[in-house]
Amino acid sequence: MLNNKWFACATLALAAVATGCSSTGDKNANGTAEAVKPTTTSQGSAAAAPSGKTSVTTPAATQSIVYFDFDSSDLKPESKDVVAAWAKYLTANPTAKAQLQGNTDERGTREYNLALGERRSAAVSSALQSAGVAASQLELTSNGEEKPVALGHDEASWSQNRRVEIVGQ
Amino acid sequence: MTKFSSILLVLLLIAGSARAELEISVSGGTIRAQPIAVVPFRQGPSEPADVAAIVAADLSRSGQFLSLARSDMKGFDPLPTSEAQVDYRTWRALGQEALVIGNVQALPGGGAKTVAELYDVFRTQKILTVEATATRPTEWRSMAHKVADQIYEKLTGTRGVFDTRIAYITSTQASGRRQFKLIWADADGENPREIARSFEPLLSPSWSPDGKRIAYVTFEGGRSKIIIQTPATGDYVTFLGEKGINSAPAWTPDGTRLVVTLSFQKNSDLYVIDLATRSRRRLTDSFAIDTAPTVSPDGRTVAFLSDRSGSAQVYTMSIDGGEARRLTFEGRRNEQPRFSPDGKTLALVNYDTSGYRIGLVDVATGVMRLVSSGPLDEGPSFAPNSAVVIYTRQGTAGAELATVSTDGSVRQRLRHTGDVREPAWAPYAKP
Amino acid sequence: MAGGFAPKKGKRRLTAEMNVVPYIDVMLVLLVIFMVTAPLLTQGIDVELPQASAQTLSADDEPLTLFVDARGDYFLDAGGDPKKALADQIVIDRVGAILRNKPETMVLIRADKAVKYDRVANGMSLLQAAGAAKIGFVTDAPSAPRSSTANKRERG
Repeated sequence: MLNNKWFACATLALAAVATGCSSTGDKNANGTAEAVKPTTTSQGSAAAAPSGKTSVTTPAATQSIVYFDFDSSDLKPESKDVVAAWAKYLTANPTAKAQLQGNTDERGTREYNLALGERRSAAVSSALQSAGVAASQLELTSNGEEKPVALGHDEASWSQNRRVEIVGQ
Repeated sequence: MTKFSSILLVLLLIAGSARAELEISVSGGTIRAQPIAVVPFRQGPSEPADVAAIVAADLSRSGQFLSLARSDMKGFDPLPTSEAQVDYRTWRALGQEALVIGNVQALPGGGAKTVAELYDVFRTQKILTVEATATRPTEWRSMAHKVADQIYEKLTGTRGVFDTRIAYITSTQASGRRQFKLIWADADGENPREIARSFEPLLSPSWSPDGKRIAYVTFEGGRSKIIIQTPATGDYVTFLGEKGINSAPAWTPDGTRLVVTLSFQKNSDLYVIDLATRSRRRLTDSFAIDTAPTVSPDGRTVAFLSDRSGSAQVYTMSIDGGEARRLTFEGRRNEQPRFSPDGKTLALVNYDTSGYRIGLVDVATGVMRLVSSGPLDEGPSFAPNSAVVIYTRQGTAGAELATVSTDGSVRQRLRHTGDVREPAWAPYAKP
Repeated sequence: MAGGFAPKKGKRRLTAEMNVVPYIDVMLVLLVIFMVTAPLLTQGIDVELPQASAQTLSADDEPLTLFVDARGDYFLDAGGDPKKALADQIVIDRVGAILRNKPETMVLIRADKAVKYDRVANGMSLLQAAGAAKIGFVTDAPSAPRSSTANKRERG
């Protein structure tokens, strides 16, 4: 974890330098770096930055995932940092966009879970909006139970699958 | 049981060319299977299908009959192919209660006509003459299923479902990625054909009442869309692709409208969409999740899932709108209702201490019976005769399909090499 | 119960009624004795109950008979023409199929007295190869008044 953070900081700095030198076209990446740079000491934002910067193809860092309890769309206290980091990034970059992908575990029917996944992404969305993010910056999607990250049939796997992934665009 | 599996094996060998995708086995039940002898029909040696073998396999697979193995008929040559040749003493000695003989007449152009006769061995009389025809070689299996359907109906009083089709979704690993396929196959798992294939999830297949079209949900492109496709031709249209969720299509019995779940207004609600005009009418407007609609066969009532009470429960309301009435109170949750084709029963997924199980609710009395053992059963779909429910269960090697007769007496398991789920039993083909 | 018969406090008067309490006591004791002994009594009686098998459909009772005629040919009374001599393999196939599908079928051998012992023994081994665990021999009782009745002996 610590190593990751240092690595993130390093890439961040590098990226900032690189984009700063090259062109002004890539406003998004540039802005990200600037916005986050002063706050690298705080938790989570370090990881949020690269995932915001490196667009769609980059897999979401662990700090971009919000986990939920079974059949619940209430944000847990430990998700605060993730929301705060993304709120900071998105408010600093009004042109940046993020996709909120809601997911559920395999329990329950697929159609209900599709709706539950969306309700989870809506919960994250309203948390971000109350932190100042514009609704237009957020796109809500739901995968229901169709895209699990852990394939087991036990609570250990289920708890990892009940999540909203925030993907910068 | 071993005898039964050997019958299956023999029949599978005979079936030969047509490869079944689903492996079907009768996995238990409470009734005694009725012994029936389906002797080889008189037909040419290298014809598209061994009609009697398919009939025998159908009857055995129902769990209500035990077909006499071909190997046990060996010593009784010549086997009867006409009424005059039937020796009841023989079949009684073999412990058989019914006997089927028949003739298959190949017609020019690859078609055929089967005339089969059903005998009651104890009452020593003919009780049914069955006729079925095929116009193409590919219809021979269907012709055999039609013969089996009529025999089944005569002996059990319930219309058979051998000549029907089932759609289901498979999920397999293909070149390191998960691939989803929507397949339709004959009810015996033979003759599988692909309707759609995607690296994104497919779900909620739903047959139109005439069985000619199928609506389903695809995530192709990363977002949910509702597709309506004609499997016979492959033609399809993207019917709905609104912002947010587009899911859970359910046809009205007249086939002119779809009830669907849309969330473009921030929250999952039900809408009635006219197929011809695409005009939409909002059916529910609540802060809760409303989804998984099913329309009663009389076209008047919609049953659906809603968590407006705090947990998911099944509600009913008029398709014209109005107040929703809560139908289920048993168990912690009740999801995914499906009306039976006769409108008397509602299948659903019940969640309680023993997990998710399939429940059958008597629409008139509201009494629920649980017919599966759980713990992760879902996706119930009625056979067109309302006597069997097919659903998804968690097997040892992934999701598999299972069926249970509505009285709980016969159970089957349908296995696939990958995950198989979301079954949708097609209605009877309209003539 | 007995409260009605209890002497009233204070006044003691002679009553002309009979005191039935001891009788009731005795009756109850007798009742208990009979209740206890009744089941023991029925258990003690040795009754030979008729043996009834679970499946007693009349049609199921038909035995399967292998006939061996004077020339040593085999015939079965099930499946096809009963007057047609059968090859050994056909006998095994037929009897085997019948026993597999109706295991409770009784298998009998009815052999002509003139037939060679060898052919009967062979017939028996065919039946055994077909899975018959019990084979009955049908004979006519010598000088019996009811000569038509078959006398069966079972062989394990």
